[in-house]
Amino acid sequence: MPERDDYNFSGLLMRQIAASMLLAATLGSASEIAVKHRPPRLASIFPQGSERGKTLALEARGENLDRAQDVVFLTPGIEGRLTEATHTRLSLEFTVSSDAAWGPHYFRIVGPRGASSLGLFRVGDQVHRTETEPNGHLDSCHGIEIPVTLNGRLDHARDIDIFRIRVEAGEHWIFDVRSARNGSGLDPSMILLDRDGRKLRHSEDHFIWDPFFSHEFESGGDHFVVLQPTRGRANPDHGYQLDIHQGPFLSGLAPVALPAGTESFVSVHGAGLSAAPVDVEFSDEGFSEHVVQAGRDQLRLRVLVPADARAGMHWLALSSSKGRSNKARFWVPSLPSGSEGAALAIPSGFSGIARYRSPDRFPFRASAGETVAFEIRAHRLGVPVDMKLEILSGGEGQTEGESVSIAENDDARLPGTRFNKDPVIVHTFEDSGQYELLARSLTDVDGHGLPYFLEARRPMPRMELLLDTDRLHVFDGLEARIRLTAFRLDGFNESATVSVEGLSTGFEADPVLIPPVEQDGSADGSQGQKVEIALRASDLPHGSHAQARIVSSVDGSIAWKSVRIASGGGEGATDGRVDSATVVVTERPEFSLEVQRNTVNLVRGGSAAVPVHLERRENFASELSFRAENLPPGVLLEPSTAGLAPSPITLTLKARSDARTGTFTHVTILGADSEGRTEQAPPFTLIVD
Amino acid sequence: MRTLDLAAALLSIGGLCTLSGGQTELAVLPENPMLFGKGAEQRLVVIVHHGDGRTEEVTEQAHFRSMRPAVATVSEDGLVQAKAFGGARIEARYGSLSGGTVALVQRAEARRRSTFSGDVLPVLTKLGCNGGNCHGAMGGQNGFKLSLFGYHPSDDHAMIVNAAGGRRIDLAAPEESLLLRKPTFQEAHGGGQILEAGSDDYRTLLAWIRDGARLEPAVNRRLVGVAVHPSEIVLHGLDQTLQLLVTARFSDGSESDFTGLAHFESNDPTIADVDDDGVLRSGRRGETAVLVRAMGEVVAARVGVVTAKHAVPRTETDHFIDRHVFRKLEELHVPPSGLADDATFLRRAYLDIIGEIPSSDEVREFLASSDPAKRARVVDRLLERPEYADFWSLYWGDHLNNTKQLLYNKGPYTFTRWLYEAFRANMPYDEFVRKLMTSSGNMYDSPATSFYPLMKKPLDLAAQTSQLFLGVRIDCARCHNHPMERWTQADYNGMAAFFSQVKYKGGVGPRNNERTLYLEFERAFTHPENGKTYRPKYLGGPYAGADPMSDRRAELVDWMTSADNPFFSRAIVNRMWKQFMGRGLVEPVDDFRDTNPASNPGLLDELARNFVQSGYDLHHLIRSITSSRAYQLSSVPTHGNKDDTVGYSHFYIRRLSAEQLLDSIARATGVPEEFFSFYPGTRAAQLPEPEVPSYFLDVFDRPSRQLVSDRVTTSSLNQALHLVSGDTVQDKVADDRGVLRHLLAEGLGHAEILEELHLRTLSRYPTPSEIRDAEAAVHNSPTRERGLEDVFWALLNSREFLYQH
Repeated sequence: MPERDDYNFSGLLMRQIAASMLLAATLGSASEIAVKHRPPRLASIFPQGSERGKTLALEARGENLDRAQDVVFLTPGIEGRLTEATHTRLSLEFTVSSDAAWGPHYFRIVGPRGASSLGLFRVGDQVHRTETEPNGHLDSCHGIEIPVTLNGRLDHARDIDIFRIRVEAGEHWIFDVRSARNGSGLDPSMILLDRDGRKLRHSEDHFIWDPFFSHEFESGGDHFVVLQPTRGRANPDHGYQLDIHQGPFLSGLAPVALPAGTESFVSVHGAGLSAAPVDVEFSDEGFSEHVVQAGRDQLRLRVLVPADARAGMHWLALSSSKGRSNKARFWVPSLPSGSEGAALAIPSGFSGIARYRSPDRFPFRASAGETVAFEIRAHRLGVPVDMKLEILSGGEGQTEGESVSIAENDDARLPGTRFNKDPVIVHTFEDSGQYELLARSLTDVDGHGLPYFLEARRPMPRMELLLDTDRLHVFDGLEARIRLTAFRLDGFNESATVSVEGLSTGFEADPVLIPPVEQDGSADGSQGQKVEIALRASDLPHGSHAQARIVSSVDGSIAWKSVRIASGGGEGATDGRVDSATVVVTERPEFSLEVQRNTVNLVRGGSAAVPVHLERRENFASELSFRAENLPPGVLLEPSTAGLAPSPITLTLKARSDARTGTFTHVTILGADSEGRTEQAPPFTLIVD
Repeated sequence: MRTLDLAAALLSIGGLCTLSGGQTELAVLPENPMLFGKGAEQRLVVIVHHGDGRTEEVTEQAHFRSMRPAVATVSEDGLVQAKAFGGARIEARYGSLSGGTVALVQRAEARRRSTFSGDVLPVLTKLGCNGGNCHGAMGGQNGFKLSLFGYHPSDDHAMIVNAAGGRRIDLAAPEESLLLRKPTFQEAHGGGQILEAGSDDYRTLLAWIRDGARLEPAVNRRLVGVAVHPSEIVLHGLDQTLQLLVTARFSDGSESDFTGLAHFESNDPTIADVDDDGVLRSGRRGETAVLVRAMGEVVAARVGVVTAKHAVPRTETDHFIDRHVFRKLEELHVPPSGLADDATFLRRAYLDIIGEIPSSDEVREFLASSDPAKRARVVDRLLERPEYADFWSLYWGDHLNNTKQLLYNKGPYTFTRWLYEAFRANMPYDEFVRKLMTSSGNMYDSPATSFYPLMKKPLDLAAQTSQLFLGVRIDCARCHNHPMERWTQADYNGMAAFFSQVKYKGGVGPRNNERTLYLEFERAFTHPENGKTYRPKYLGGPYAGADPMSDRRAELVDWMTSADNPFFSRAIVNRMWKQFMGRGLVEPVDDFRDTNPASNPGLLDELARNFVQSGYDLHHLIRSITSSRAYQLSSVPTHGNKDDTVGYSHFYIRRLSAEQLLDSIARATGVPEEFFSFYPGTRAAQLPEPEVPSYFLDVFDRPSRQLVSDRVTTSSLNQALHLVSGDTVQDKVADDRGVLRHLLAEGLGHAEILEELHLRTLSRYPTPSEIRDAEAAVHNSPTRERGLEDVFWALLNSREFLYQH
């Protein structure tokens, strides 16, 4: 059967019958349905990033990459082109404009096979270099100039990268590895050694999987930075970027909410913050700031938030002579500020400090039938706190024993968010009276209090649209369907229309009405309503593509999706947010191949059978010939062809007596018809012993 | 005649000694006994302390006299009997020596009634009726079931008085009671005759039945403790004897002579045996403990035996450790070995503190130094080295289950880093334990939570915490009250209740098995099998957890780390002592119990006290131990101390651990071991988990870390074969990057190279004969290079290299 996101054979409402008839006429038999369409899969690119104003050559690895035509960036600032393509490798050239936005840029490879999985390319602000092998020993590694961004890979068994750096005593440097954050499956350790090879620092899992530390050097001279894979997992797709710089680096802000029209003192935490002069960049215009106090690990700012500041998520970043920082998030609330010690007004917002084992208590009054939403914003703003909210009946004036818990929430399920530690309670009170809200930090983070923002508000009925489909393949004469989930929040129960924007000529999609619901939408958005939008393409060549944005009629919001980018196996991965689906007019395959083994074992001087399942479209009778890619030296695929003999076909791998031993994870069987059209079976693992 | 040599401490017991004629003294035991109730009796023991150090029991030869017979009389063989309220001095005379004790008679106005808990159960226990192989067995015997060792008096009373239609007790004709007729074999009894009609025990049971066979209120009179006299003793010569006396203390404040009701057992009968009446008999030289049990209460007497007197030079020292160690050696007449030389000390300190041998340059520098404080200085430097943190992270990783089998794939990596930082910063030990035990969060952001593997439930955590941090094994009480020790199921379940608030939530992050530990305050501990709810209770102490919103784990740590906690500081100093001295003062180090007393209790106490006073400073503790003469003694035994295994008369040699050995081989050869996916130069001590492949480490007993107990150190053929013919030593010796190639490339002569090889391996200069032998071996080899490789190989395979000495 086709994969979920590829294409589908069902229709909606009146079109359903017609589509079914068309489907039956076009595809005919069940065997044709079994012919699998395999869109390109982008496993990794190398290098993972560059400076602004550069043109660079890259290598991409993956599957079904042959016949790729275009590189489609979802954000402006980078142009990409293909220079060479095989089934498993691409040669690319990227040109990064001088004003490209800092940070990650997402792209896809597009061609007649469809749109690839999402790729990530990062634009950085310092000199980029690429590692050169061999560099696995202290005595043979290469010296590098710092500051630098190093692009490297731990791509084979026992691959360890060591870099020699030279520092002055008393210098403070920041070491930041981006691998998972760049979509690499690599789970690395970073170790700093002194000139004698003694360990000074060791980091793993600072940013989920990525290591990070800042270090002040007691003595000057040569030191070594080691990158090694945790638990020995190495893979050709395991790339990384190592930033070595002197800051600034931001780990967080306090408070995390800055009300519009106010002047707030903000503590900025991080490293390398003392480098002067410091410029502060805000996500929106109109903000201004003044540095009150600057230290290495903390900066004190006075921030003026404009009265007309947009309510919602913002960020700030610092620039100094030593470089540009990452972004730190903060929230501009739409609620009036509550005051400490007073009863909690509804609506109001309150900035607090969460302390372990010492819950903040907020007394408040509520009326029978009144619905109030309580929401913590902290984890979503990058604060490593895990809070819980609980409403107690009673409250001020009542003894502890008389309080009864009537509602609680720990980790709210937020649409589109896989992991959230912020609690949300939307509660309708049965009785009028005095209540108490408890905001508790569940865990102790180094004994520090951590900032949070509490919202107590009336429900804000709204709809959030999430893309289920982020790439869509339209086959000749068929409809494809963009799938969405509409989440109704805070009791939103009205109808809404969603329409598609951004389609180029030749693509067509009709708006879809999402009918109202009788019941209130779920309080925390955990229930979603499935929506499908039919999309057609006419008279467009294979490989034609467009970016489809789905817009809601309720508030003009755009459907989005958090897309996982993971390469090379392993745990490491990142999520890229896209707000459009890539639509491609796609060629239907005549046949598909499937190797019926995940792993094939081969000994030197011996041979091994590789059973391959072949699925043909009806009336496709061409003889197929087979070859393999990514075989290790000394291993050959015996020449073989397949006519109309029943599947599976048995191919034979042979290893010479001097064949390279080891485990090879990306071996691929390719079949070609008499016209040269090739299809690729998913790769398998070959073990040569 | 019983000859013995009492410890000096015993001589100082006030009231027991009367000086008579120079340094010879007479002591009467027990000191000022209390007799409760008219007719109560107490045996006395008389001991002579001779001026030459010998001690002799002369009870049979002594003459006794009561100075106030109206209050208490004394028989010719030293049996005191209470007559009336008051105090009566009892004098003993032996030759020209005299001494005495004061018998204090209380509650003599009324005849004391026998009680079930205080009198009957002790008799039944003494007779073995409630033992595990008799009626104390799980199902009892022939329908008669008693609680094991009388732990449940009310159940036992009901079984004796009420069960079986009440036929076991005949109040109308007490002598006809089955309770008396069965053990005296007047009725058929599967256990045979175990009681003599008319004996003291018989009369005790009979008196209780005559008094109505009642069960007194639980608080009325129950046994709360026993004491043994003397508690420390040294016997001189083979077959010397001494009577032990046992005094029982009851909950009503009374005491009684329990010698006849106690059970005696020697931990090592070949050193000192003891009979059913409590008479010690000396055997071979050594020291052991004699355990005294009564009704679940246990006490031990420490008994030393000296069979040959060796001259023991007095060691003048200000060091508190040495005072204890050498005093003990003097008592046992075991002479200590001499002081280890500088080279030996250096190597020993390196291996014990950072887990590997010094470099040749470090050896040269140390040996060349004339600084009188150089030993202390090198210890200071080692404590500040990162290898110290690695080595002790390894030790604690072994004991804290730091393995992926329990912590999932990444757990050992994050936990090792946390341990490293803790030891790098010399985190005070109480804080270290507090951070582990009160941790919250997930194992990535808060690695100390790895103390709480997901699969460990409160019962497991209770056992682990007790064993690891308190040195107490309470596992037996998981299923039943400990038959030999004081730990009950109430203790065990009470400890488990401290952990019942621990809860986990999964799915909190993208990493595999990512989970968050947090507390659910209101969660009580409900036993998974019996469904009962238990309150938190400190081990051997009171209940806790009164505040429902408190972190009970923190309360437990507060109790554990309080300065007067009887277990916490003793447990850690004992662990550390073993790491440095080769043997714990208590062995095994996590098995503190009344029946396993410390070999030098005074030293253990003072080490613990000193450690607490230092602020639980592990560096201070290490400095204290390594600066002692005891630590710096030679490992070469003398004729007088070669049999000693517990007195620390010489340094006890031991094989290097797997990591010490592999890291030392790498250091000596200059060729680092390469571990899969770790940078070259990673030492074995730095490996975060035992799953990192290494045949060498596995064959040399690297533990799986799935248990919290200490490592075992074995000797096996595989170890020998791997050293002799395996690739580890051979490849490193011949490696082109290795030290030997460098030395040859520098064009050094035989002597210089041999000196360097000795310094690198044995941490000392070679002797002239060693140089001669080595040069001969090189000369006889096909090539110079091959010959030197052989010498290098032989040094790495020598016992001197393979052992800590």
